[in-house]
Amino acid sequence: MRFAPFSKALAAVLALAGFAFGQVSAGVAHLQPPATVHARAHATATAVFQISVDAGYHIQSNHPKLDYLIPTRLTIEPAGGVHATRVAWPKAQNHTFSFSPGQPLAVFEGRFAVPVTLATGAAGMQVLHGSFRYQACNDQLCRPPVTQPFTLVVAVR
Amino acid sequence: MPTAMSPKNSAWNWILIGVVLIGGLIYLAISRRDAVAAMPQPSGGVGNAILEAGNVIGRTAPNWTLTDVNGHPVSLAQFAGRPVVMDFWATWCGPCQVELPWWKQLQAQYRAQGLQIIGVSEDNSLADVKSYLLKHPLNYEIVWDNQQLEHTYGIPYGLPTTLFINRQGKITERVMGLEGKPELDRAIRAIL
Repeated sequence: MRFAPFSKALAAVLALAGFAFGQVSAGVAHLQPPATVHARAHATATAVFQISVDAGYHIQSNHPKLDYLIPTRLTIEPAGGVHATRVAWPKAQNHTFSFSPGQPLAVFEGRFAVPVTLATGAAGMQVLHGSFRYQACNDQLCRPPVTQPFTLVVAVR
Repeated sequence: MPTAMSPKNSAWNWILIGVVLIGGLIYLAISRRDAVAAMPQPSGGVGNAILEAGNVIGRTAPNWTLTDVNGHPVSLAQFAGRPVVMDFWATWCGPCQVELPWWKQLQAQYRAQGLQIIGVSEDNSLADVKSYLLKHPLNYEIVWDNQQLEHTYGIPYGLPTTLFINRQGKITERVMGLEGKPELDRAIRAIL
C-alpha cells in the first residue's frame, strides 16, 4: 500500500514532534517516556522509559554505595486507578573515579531502559504525572541535583 | 493502491503540517528564551553586582550574608582585609569530599597569615550539612547557600568551584572541578 506524500510528511512531523516534546532534557541526563501505553482494565502493563546520560558523565544509581550520594529516582503519581507497582532499574555499573580511588561507585552511564510495571483500574484514558530525579558527575565535578517532571498517558480498555 | 484525494483535503493536510511545524518552532524559541533568562547576567557594577560567568577574575567579590550551620549570620564583609577562599561544595559531591581534608590542612597551615577558608554549601537541606559535619568536622567556616550565591558568583558548571580573594577583595583565581592540593596551595600563597 502506498501513502500520499502529505501522509508521509505528517507522520514524520508528528514523530519528530512527539520525540521533541516528550523528551525530558535538562542537564546531562535525558528521559524519554514511552508513547501512549495501552493496557487492559484491572490488569498490569509495562511502560518502558529510555534514559541517556551524556558521554563523560554518570548519574548515581538507584542504590548508591555511599550514603551522601543522591539516588536516581523515577516517581509516578497514581491517577484514575493506575499506579506504578515496580520500577526495574538495570544493574548499576561499578566504576572507580579519580575522586574515589579504591572505592568503586554504583552508577548509570550511557543509554539504558527502565521498565515500569503499572497496575490499572477501570477503563479510560489516564494522564499520570511523574518526576525523574538524578544527580550527575564527571571525573572532576558534580552538577546539582535535577528533578524533571514528565507525563505518561495510559489508555485503559 | 494509491488513495485518491481531493485538492481541498490535500490543502487541509498541508495546513495541519504547517501548524505542527510552526508550533514546534514557537516551543523551541520559548525554551531557548527561558534558558537564556536562567543564565547569570553580566553586570558593569561591583560590590553587590552579579558576576558574569567566565568573567570573574579581577572583579570585586560581591558581599553576601548567609547563615552558618548554627543559624548565625556570616558575611563576606567581616573578613575584609584578609585573604579568603570561597569553596562551593555539597555533601553529595564526590570530588568535593576529596578536597575537604586539604582545606582543613591549608586552613591550619595559613591561619597565622590571616587566611579564611569559607565552605559554601549548596545542599538543599541545612540538616544534611549539619549531619555531615557531625561525622566530618571541619576547622573553617561553613555557610549554607542553597544555590543562591552560586548564581551571584556566576558558578556555571558545577562543584567544586573555588574562588580565591585577595586582601583587597578582588577575585584573583577561580578553580573549577577537582584539582590537586599543590594547585590549591599555590593559589592560596598568591593571595597571602
